[in-house]
Amino acid sequence: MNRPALPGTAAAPASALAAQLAGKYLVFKLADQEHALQILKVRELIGLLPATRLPGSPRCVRGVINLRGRIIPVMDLRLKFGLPRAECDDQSVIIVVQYTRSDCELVMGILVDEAVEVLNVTASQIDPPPDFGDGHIGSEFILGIGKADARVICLLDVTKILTTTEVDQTLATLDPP
Amino acid sequence: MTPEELLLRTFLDEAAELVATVEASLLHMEERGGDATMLNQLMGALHTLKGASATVGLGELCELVHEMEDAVDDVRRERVAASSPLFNQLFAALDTVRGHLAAVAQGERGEDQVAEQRARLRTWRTAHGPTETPAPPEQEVAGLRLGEYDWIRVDVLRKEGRPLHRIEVAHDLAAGPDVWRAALHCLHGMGDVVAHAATEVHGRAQLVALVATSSDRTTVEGALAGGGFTLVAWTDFAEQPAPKPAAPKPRAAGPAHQVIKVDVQRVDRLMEMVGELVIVESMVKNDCDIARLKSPRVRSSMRLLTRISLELQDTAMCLRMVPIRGELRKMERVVRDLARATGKKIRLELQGESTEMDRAIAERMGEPLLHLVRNAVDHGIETAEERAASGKPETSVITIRASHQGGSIVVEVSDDGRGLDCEAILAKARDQGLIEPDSRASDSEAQGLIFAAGFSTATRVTEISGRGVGLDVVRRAIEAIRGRISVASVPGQGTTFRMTLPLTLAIINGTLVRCGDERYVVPTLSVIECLRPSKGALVRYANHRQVLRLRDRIIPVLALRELLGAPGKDGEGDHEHPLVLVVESAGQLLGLAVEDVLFQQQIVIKSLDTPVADRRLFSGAAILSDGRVGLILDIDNLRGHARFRGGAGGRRGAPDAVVPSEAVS
Repeated sequence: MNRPALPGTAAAPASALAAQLAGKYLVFKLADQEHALQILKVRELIGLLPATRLPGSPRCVRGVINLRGRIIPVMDLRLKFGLPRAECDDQSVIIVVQYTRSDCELVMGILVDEAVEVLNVTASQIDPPPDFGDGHIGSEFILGIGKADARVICLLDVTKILTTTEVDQTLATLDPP
Repeated sequence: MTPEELLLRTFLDEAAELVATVEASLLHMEERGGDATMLNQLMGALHTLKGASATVGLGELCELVHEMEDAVDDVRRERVAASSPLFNQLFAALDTVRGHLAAVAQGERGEDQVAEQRARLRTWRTAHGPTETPAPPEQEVAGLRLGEYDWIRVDVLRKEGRPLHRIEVAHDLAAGPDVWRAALHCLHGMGDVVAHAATEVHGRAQLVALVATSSDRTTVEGALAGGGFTLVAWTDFAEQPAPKPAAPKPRAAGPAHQVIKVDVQRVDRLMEMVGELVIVESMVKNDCDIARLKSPRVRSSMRLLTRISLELQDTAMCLRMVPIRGELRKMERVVRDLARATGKKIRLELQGESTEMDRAIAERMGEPLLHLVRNAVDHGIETAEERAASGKPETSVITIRASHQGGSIVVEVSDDGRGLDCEAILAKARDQGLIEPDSRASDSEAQGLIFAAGFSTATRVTEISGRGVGLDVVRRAIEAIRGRISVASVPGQGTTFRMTLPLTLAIINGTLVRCGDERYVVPTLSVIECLRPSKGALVRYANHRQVLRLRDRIIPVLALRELLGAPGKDGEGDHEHPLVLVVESAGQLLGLAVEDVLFQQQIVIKSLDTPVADRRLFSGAAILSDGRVGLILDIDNLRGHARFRGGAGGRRGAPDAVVPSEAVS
């Protein structure tokens, strides 16, 4: 099915990109906007756990939690995207994601408003990320836009949620116990 | 893991032990001459290593070890004298073997260096050895060539009462050496393979092997069938006359100390789970609902649960303990090489080799020990002339002593060399701006300066000790495993470095403090004392700097709550009368102003290996008794805050400095 290319995007690479991004995604809500993460990077979903504040960490990091004996940081995705902080309710959920960077396996929790469902997104449903111009918070996190029925879902790149500089800076100081 | 990988892993483990045995034997022989037992031990190790290398397909390695074996055999048969150059050659070859094993462990298979080394050794032997090396007597045993040492093994196995069988194995597919590897691996699992050879019978490839196993034919047949092999023949290995050379008497085996090899990962996993068990047990124990129960039955069960959990933890901890022997023994070779390089006569004495420590700590002791020994040889020990002039024996002694003392491990490295020159140290420290030009220091303070970054009194940079980065690096390495290092020296007599290490890295004693509404952990090891200073003792300056007059010293004080931005009720009166925890780091004192000191607790350290943690503030995290995370303050780095910023407020200029007021939302 042919679609007119979105302004500012090239048609040919888009389909290759879409094919790459197709797969199962975990859809969640953040301030009534739906976003999704690749399911392969999601370890588990947990309810809200009391987080211990981590002084010196970026504002969007709520703190660290004890996940069955392992200590992982929890990021408030609202704050990361520049949205106002919200009260947590019983819908709030922490998505535990894992990814590898420079040979290190990193695990992190992401606090979101509500987990919706696991959705299989096909290549034809994926558009390349729109060009918001520079400086718009969140533009570098978007892998693409998923369109299912009438819904518009932002497909997010987990590895970019923690910006490169933060991670590399700290990876340089990591030493194993 | 595939069977291939498992085979290789097993080989690498075995090979490492064999290499260590070879090295120890060579060192012993070089020092004290070779007696028959030592020579046989050495040859046995080389022989086994040779065979094992062939089994995993490392042909060139096998050839190199064979060459080494022949060289040692020349000595044994007195065809060649055990000379210093020969030992140098053998050590060089051993280093190549070791290097190659490390490369193989990384997945590299290139054997060029090994082949080169073999050529070198062969060339040397041809130049210096006897003109002809007769082949060792071998005897055919129906398809198997058994060398001398194979016979020794046969003898030993017989004496142990292990039945020997000669077996023939065939395979359905066209067989190459790879195929037999699987069969050999299978046979290794059922007993000992003394010798093996690939032959052809009626045009079909077969493996002939001499195996010592207590399993019967059916069991072995079944095991081999699993890999697609057919057991073709099975005969008892009848008494065969062994060739004459004296076989060493196997040492009378006492009650065997049973040891099993366990994958380190499994032990670590077990330890992790035991750690979690202790945490959960503590959570249950401290749960207020359970405490409210007031049932004697519940209480007694909880006590039992606690006792068993702690015992389980202790036992699990012991699994990780290894004797320090391995790390200490490595120093023998180091001292030997260094002595030769510097032309000094040095003897190494090791004491307390069986002192056990956590494996992780033992592994990280290696580098510091190496630096200290190198330092001793290069700086501490005088030249032969100097020693003669001061009436000291020609051979200097370096002693490494390990022991358990008061719940810690103490490792001391001493030399009987020239000792530390305090004046020279102070002069150099002044030159390098490490201390004020007119400051005075006691001898022990002066000696402590040698650990400062960038410090060196070496007038010349030597290849061995480098540019004075040695001791600073050592100090940091020791502190990284939560140890302490100090030095004591008597000029003219010698120097002793003393390292104190924890028994385990996994658990520390923590002191919980309250800052506002939050709790933080201070390692109890660093805490010197806790006091509530009287009115005049705590003085505030501009820029929020505070100092405390503590007896005759003035120490900086950090207001932790402001530094960490902890929320809480203001105006609690904490500013006027805080509790000050005096902590020590690298010989310096620092005061931490907190609201309250809660209690001490044994806590399990969890790593805080996440990119967002400010590693300048926290050295790690722990799970407290209520299941919540407690952050462990990094005392050494906090000191830096006191020096540059004097406590709360103000930016440091670093891009991501702690900004307390913003962190409170």
